Amino acid sequence: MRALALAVLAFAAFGCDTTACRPGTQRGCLDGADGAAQQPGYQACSASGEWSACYAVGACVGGASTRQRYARCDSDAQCGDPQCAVCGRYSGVTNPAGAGICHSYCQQDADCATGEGSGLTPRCILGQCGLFCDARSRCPFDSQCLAWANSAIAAAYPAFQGLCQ
Amino acid sequence: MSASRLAGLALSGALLGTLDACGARTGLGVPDVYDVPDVDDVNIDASDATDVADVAACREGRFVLTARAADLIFVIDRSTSMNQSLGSLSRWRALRNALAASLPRFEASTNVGALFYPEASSVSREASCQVVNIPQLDLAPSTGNAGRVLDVFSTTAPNGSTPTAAALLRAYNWVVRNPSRARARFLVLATDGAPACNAALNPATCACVTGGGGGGGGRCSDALRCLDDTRSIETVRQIASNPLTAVPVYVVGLAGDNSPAYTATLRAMAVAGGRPNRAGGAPSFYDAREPETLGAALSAIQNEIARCTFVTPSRPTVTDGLRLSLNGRDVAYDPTRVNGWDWTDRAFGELTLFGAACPSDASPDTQLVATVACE
Repeated sequence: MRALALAVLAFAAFGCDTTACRPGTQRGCLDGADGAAQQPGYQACSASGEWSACYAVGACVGGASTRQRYARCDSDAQCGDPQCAVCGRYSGVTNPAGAGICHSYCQQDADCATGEGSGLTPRCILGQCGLFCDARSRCPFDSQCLAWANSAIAAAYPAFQGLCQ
Repeated sequence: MSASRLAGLALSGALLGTLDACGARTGLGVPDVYDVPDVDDVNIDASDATDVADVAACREGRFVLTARAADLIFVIDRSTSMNQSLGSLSRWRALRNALAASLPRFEASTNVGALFYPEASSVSREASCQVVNIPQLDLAPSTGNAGRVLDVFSTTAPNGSTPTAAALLRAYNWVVRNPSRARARFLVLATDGAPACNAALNPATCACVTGGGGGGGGRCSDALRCLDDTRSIETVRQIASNPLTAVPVYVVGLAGDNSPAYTATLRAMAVAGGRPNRAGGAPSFYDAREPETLGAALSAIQNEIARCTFVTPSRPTVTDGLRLSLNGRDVAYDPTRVNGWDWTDRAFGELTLFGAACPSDASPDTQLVATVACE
C-alpha cells in the first residue's frame, strides 16, 4: 500500500510531462508558424511547477519567412509570421532615415546566424538578434551598416562599427 | 482511519494536485501597432495610445513637440521582508498606498504594467528564486490598469526571496517581444531588499543578505542567500544600454536594510539604469524611508516620464541639426544627461529633457519647439 502511495505521489510530481516540472528548468519546443514553417523555441518551468507557452527563437525553418530576416522593412507584415521575425529599429545606431529591419529572437548567438551578407558577427543580446558589422562587412539584402549612436556604445563594442539595419 | 483510506486520500489529493499543475499558462498581450502615412500636421497626439510616433525623414522647419506616450512597467519586490514596517505601515501597504495616490494622476499619458516577484505561487523558498525568463508580466501595460495593479496588493502577500536580476530580465523580455512604435518604455524597480538568488555565488565567501543584512557579514547558509550585487547591476546596465533595445530603469529603494553594501548596490543599479535621482546631488536611487517620501519618489518618476520625453516629427540628418526651445528659452544639448536634452531613441525621433530642463508642471502653456536643419 505504501509503495502504491509513493508511486502515485511520484506520478503526481513528474508524470504530467506537458505541465508539471522542476522550477527554473527549460526545454526546447516547436511551435507552428505560417504555411510550412516550424519555429523552434523554448519553454520554462515557473516557480509553481508549470511549463510556460512555447516562445520562438531563431529563424523559422521552411516557409516564406526565412528569407526576410535581416531585410529592411516598414512593417511587421513584411517580415512574415511575427513568431519568425518582427520589424524593429535598434536604439543604439544612428538611423536618420528611420529604417527598420526584420529581426528574430534568440537565446544564444547561433540563433541569430544567417547565410546572407559577409563579414558579419551575429549576436544575441538579452533575447534579441542583431548583426554586428564593420567597414569590411556586407550587410544582408538592402540593409546597411549603421554607425553607433554615441561614443559610449562605441566604447562598449570597440570591435564593431555598428549594426546592420 | 485505515491504511487503504489514507492511500485513497493520498491518491485523490495527488491527482488533484497534478490536474491543477497541468493547467496551461499562455497568452501574450501584443499591442496594436499601426503605420500612418506622413502627414503635414506636426503635432503628435501622445495621449492617444493608437497613434504611432513613426516620424518622417528630415524636413526643415519649426515643429511644436508633444510628449511621447509611455509604458511604465513596475517591477515590484514581493519578498517576505516587504511585510516589515515603513513608518506606521508595512512596506507592502505603503507602496500600495503610494501607487494609489500617484498612478491615477498620470493615466492619461502613461500606461501602467507590473511584474511582482517572486511568484505568488512559489512552492518553496528555493522555488521563489525562480523567475523564469519568459516574456510575461502579471499585468501588461494598458490604460486604466491602476486598479488592477492595486488589486494585486490585496490578493497576494509578500513571501519568499528576492530574485531581482531575474525579474528585471523577465520584464525586459516582455518589452522586447512586444515592440511598440507608439510608446516609450520604462522599468521602475521598487525593492526593499538586497538582490539575491544567484546559485553561482560561493556561500563561504559571499556577503550574506540575511542575519545582519546585505553585506553585513557572517557566513551564508547557501548561495541563494548571497548578495547578488554584481549580476544585478550588470543586468540593469545591459537593459538600459543594450544597443538593440535600450530600456531605462528607475530604482526605488524602500527603506530596508541600510547597510553600505545594500545602499551601494541600489545606487549602482540606479546609475546603470540611466535614470538616477539627481535631487540630492550625486546620482543615486530614489530613497523612500517614509510613506511620504515613497509617494514623492513615484510622482517624480512618473512626472519625468510623462513630461520629459518627446518625439520630433522630423529627424535632422546633420549632427547638430536640431535646436530646442522651451517657452522661448533655448534648451542646451547635453549628452551627459544632467541638465539639457539628448536623443534617447533617435531611430524613433525620441528625445528627452533631463534635470532642470524638464518642466516641473503640466501647464498647458508649456511649449517645446524644435528647429530642424537638413543636409
